[in-house]
Amino acid sequence: MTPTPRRPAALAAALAALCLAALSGPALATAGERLAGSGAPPPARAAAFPRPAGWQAAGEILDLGPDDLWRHINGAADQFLAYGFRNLREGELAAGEARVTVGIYDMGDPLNAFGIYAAERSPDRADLGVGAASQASPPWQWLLLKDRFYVKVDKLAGDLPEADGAALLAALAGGLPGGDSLPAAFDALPAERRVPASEGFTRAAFLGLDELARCVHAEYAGEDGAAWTVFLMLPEGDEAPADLLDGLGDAWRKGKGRAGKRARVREVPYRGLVAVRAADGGLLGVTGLDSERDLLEALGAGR
Amino acid sequence: MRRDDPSGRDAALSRRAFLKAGGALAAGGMMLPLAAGTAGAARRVERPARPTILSHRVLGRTGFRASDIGLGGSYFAESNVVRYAVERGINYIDTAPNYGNGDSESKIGQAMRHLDRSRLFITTKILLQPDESADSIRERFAGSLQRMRIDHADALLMHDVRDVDRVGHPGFHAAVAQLKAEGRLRFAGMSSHGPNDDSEDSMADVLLAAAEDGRYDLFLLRFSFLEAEEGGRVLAACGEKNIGTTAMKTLPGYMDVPDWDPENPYEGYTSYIERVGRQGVSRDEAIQRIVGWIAQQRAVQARMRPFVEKHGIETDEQLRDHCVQWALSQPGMHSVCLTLPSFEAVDRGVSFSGTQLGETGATFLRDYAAAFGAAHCRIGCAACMGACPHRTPVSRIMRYGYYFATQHREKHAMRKYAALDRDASRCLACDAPCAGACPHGVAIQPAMVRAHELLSLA
Repeated sequence: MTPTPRRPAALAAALAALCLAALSGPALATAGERLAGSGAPPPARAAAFPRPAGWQAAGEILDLGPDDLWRHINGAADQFLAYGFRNLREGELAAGEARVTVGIYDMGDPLNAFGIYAAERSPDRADLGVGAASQASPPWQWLLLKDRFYVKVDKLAGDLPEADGAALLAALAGGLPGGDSLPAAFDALPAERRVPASEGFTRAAFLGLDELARCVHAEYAGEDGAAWTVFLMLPEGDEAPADLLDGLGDAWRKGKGRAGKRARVREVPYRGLVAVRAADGGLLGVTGLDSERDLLEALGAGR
Repeated sequence: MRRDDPSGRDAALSRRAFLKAGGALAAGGMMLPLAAGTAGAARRVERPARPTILSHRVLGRTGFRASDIGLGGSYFAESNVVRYAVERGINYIDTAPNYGNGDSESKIGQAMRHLDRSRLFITTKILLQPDESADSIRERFAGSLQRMRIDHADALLMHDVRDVDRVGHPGFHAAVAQLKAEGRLRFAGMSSHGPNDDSEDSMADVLLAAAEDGRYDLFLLRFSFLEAEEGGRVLAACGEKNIGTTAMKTLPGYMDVPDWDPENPYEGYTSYIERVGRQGVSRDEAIQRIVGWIAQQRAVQARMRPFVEKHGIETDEQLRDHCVQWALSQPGMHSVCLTLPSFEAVDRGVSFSGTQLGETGATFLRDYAAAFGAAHCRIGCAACMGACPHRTPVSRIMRYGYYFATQHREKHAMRKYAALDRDASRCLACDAPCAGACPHGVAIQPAMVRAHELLSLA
């Protein structure tokens, strides 16, 4: 029994990237017929790039789209594309001996930006309190999330004290549009017993299951030492939660007992059971608890 | 300088880590018009519910018997997927610290708690600065081992090499020697996608030089059926030197064409409008371009319908199946690395193990190459040089056109073109003695005329 086949997100990203590549102009390196004519954009001009006080721009500004990101960061681009990457502007800044690369990734929307930030952040670093989220891995890297932007600052040369790095992040955040709060989708997850800073957004194959896409999730901890994960699978477009439930595939069965009638349950390799039900805003799911009864209870009560 | 945070996460990113095109995401890839409802003549790989690895190949002088399907680690949604892949029989794992800013290596590390290290061949890679010291490389390598929770890696590959001069990198070889002596590393290797600039060398030039150097035990190379000649030369050299070979980017690019829906525009179109908007193109003009482009694509699809129907191409999986099987069928290729982010993807990937490209697949790829490959100038290939009596630098001009059309580096491309001693203006009135000079069937003269029009705005 296999779940309903879905096009993997990475493939969808590849298709999107290629569509953009094709839109760029006459295709000497692709199928010759497909872009005959005058589709080429005018010469590129890099959009305004932030230059915080005390820092000087050094060198040209790169302006990359989904089609050429992987040339710049090779296989690392796969994950960015899976999160809906739209544009990277990257340039060098210098202040005295210190020289940094600033990469501003426009991920299209705040949730995608949060997803890639959460995937790339270090789990054991404190938040700096800049933007919606930020952290430092001194002396080499500073990360910032603000609205739909994910910003990476990498030190190239010289010294950059932690405080100066944080100040640079704050200046960069000030130059980006949008608010400083986490995406609203996380409001749908229970606040009680949520482990701080455990939130994530997985756009494809949450828990390693192809059918669980676009999931916001967080970790939870009970007083008795129990730990579990709650997630909300967001609909794509105007999909109804009930349709999402019906589309999960044959690997899912109805839950046991009265509490399980509206739920679907399946086994996840090495993890045990996962249970979901239709809820406001998508499919609410729980995994990590020992028994199906506990899962269904958590699912019903939000624990 | 690129650095990894020794406390556990990859840190910096080389500003100029450009790569050569050539994979599934490559802008220089090919287009496959997908037709719904055509007859299912193309045969798919049979997929048992729980497939396992059926074939192993000796990885050159490493002596390791590697699964013919390897686990490419560009990203994993879940560490248990790594564990699952190993349980299905995959014993070759490839990763790099810049995949997910260290996340890929960390996920492998989480899985390692459940796995028998001695049965696995684990490689990681490192992007180098030209003058990077052995100490710096050792420090970054230590970060990779820490994230993967292993005491040694089987191979460290110099990542994304585009210059022959890089083959002898003193810091890398000194670091490798020290790490081997300490028992933290067994073998050295190299990965290459090919050049991204005309000052850089082709993938074959780089890897053939590395093979000749003698200090490399393992290669990871771009290897699709559309670039069989270049990859084949590398494999032949590896066979002579007993170097292990692994493949990446076995799929050519392909695409579908969403309609323009002003009420609910496709995400890629929205992104395009925003992007060219920053370049001064109005929204209306951008939409006009999109609509025109869609119409052109539909026309091409209509012309390609006989090809599509002949092979019964219904899904993107069919092209992928044949491409992977083609790579597995090439003499001298030891393991094909696939990105397998989910349990289902692992099952799909493992199901290729032990399979070969059959007659149907071979015919399919041959026809595909004939239909689409003749429009594809292989960047870095210079096989047509010498065919032009005017000594026009065909390969270089095609590359500039590629910069312009696909990399959006219009000014750069036009500046380069303007600086050439010999441009393609002569091609307009030439009787084309270059016809037939391209071993891949590219019609050189029309392509050069188009390149000239593009690069000179003629």
